[in-house]
Amino acid sequence: MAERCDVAIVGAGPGASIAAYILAKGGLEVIMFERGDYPGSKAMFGGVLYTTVLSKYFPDFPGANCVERHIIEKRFSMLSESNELALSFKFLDFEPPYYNHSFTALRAIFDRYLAKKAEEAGAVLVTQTVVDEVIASEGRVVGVRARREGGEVLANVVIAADGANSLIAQSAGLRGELPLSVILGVKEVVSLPREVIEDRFSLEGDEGAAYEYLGGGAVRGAMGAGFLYTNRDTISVGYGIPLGALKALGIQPDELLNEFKMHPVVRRLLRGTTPEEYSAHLIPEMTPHDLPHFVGDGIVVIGGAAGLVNANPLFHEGTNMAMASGVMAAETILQAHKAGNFSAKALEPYASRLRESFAWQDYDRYQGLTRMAETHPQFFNKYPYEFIKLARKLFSVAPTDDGMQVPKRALELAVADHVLAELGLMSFGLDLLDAAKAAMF
Amino acid sequence: MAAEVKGPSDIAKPTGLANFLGPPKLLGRDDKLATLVIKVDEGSPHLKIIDQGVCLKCIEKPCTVTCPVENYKVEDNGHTTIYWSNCIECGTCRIICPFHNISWRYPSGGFGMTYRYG
Ligand SMILES: Cc1cc2nc3c(=O)[nH]c(=O)nc-3n(C[C@H](O)[C@H](O)[C@H](O)COP(=O)(O)OP(=O)(O)OC[C@H]3O[C@@H](n4cnc5c(N)ncnc54)[C@H](O)[C@@H]3O)c2cc1C
Ligand code: SF4
Ligand code: SF4
Repeated sequence: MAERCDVAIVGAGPGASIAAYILAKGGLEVIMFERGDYPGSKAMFGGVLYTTVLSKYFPDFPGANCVERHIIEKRFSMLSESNELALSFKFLDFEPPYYNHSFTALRAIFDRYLAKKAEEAGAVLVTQTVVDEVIASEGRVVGVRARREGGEVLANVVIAADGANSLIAQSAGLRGELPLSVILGVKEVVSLPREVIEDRFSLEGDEGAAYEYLGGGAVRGAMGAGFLYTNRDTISVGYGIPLGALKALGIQPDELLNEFKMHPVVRRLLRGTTPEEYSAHLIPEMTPHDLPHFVGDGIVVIGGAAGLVNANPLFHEGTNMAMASGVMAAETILQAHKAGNFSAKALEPYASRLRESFAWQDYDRYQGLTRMAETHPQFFNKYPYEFIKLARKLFSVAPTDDGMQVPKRALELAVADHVLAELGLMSFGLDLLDAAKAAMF
Repeated sequence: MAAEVKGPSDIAKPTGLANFLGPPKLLGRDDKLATLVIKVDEGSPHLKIIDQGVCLKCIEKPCTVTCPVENYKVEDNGHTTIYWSNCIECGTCRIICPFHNISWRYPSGGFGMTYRYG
């Protein structure tokens, strides 16, 4: 006889654990399967955790040693081979304990914290167990098949919370193959004493900084972005690049990471660091067309498995969307449990709530921007370099042959010349219009 | 007598910081892999090439330049080998192979790679 429970959850990431917590609190029998030795042992991300949803359920998280630093500076910069043009936003006026709900974190620590909360509420966590597929009967999902002796577990509802690769949603027929627009994230956690980090990034106490490097010299002019986030006594440094763009570059991802680390601008921030851990994973960036169905008979798909990420040059969010979808899925399942009906129709309120929430709206709004970027490579391989050239022209302090200095007026004219000759005002204007359109609709 | 004016070289340098001014340490692929805990499921590869004949005809061989730990190598006889025991389970090769020629699954529970930071 196969084991039975109310809800079987595949994965123990942030989405899974918060769903398990709510379901267990609601009195349901929940089993959460995690293929790693412990939650977070197979997970990596860039590094900023957004805690809007988390703080509602676990208001004490900032004191629980599950996050690293709260972000007080967001910095966006463009790189050429040797120069940088940056825009920094420092915000010191958000109040503790949540500040701006942006905390650097390490998944091997955070995921364990959240899964523990689910366990304390009564959910059962089974680690070191891969779920290979859903069990289907008469067209509906009735459980999961784990790769172990007696691994069949029957459940009223299965939650596919297995992240970007989501083989579970695929095995349930809810989506096809992932497209080449998915992003490969590659990172290293490098160590540096906390006083040195605080000194170097001008931080006080547990303040943290998030630096983003948009295209240009960061990843050889390809569509993609580098990042550098300060943890307590480590720094997360890495980049994300769509698989299609990586394939076209033809450089090994681990070498590309070293190249980014040795960029003259980045290298200065990483002086004296020692790599502690290398990691890589996919980010499920895709069009609405490639997304899975969020519900089926006896199954819901949440978080990364549902393609819920807002991954583009401006924002790198996903953990918050995973937790939000976990909450909405769990609340819908509690309703379905009351009604004793677990059909796709009964679970549909999850999908409709999701579409009304920020998790869907942000995805939907910004994936247009990402699509635009795909068809406008000049935003990565041309404009960053051109803007840096312009800045260099304007800010050059140049001597003249007679021992005096080039007047500013001449520099301004040189900039204007460059704009007309190299940038191509017309096409640049059109590109900007495309970008604005993509961001608007 | 007026106090002697100190030049920059007279000001004591912070001892802690001074130790962290060298270039960042870089690791090659093998050393990067060595930062990870990997438990190999000996004799039970979780990744397999389905048909070497397809690899022979595959011109671009994108698997060889996109795997973050360079697990794919083209041998002298043109066959493609997967060094599966180094796999960090990222999912790239499953999607990048234009012919879906890689049979891909996760390592069994308790095996494969473990992050301590993530
Ligand atoms: C490089 C990178 C950078 C990112 N940067 C950020 C960022 O800065 N900020 C942000 O908010 N988001 C970021 N994201 C996105 C964020 O990581 C995801 O959106 C989020 O982790 C999704 O959470 P989840 O709970 O849905 O799934 P995941 O966190 O992916 O967790 C899935 C879990 O399921 C387990 N699992 C998978 N398959 C099985 C199976 N078959 N059987 C058993 N267990 C299984 C896995 O081991 C894992 O623990 C980034 C992602 C990547 C890859
Ligand atoms: S991409 Fe696929 S077909 Fe081509 S060499 Fe690699 S495994 Fe073989
Ligand atoms: S899953 Fe990732 S790490 Fe493993 S072999 Fe494929 S590309 Fe390489």
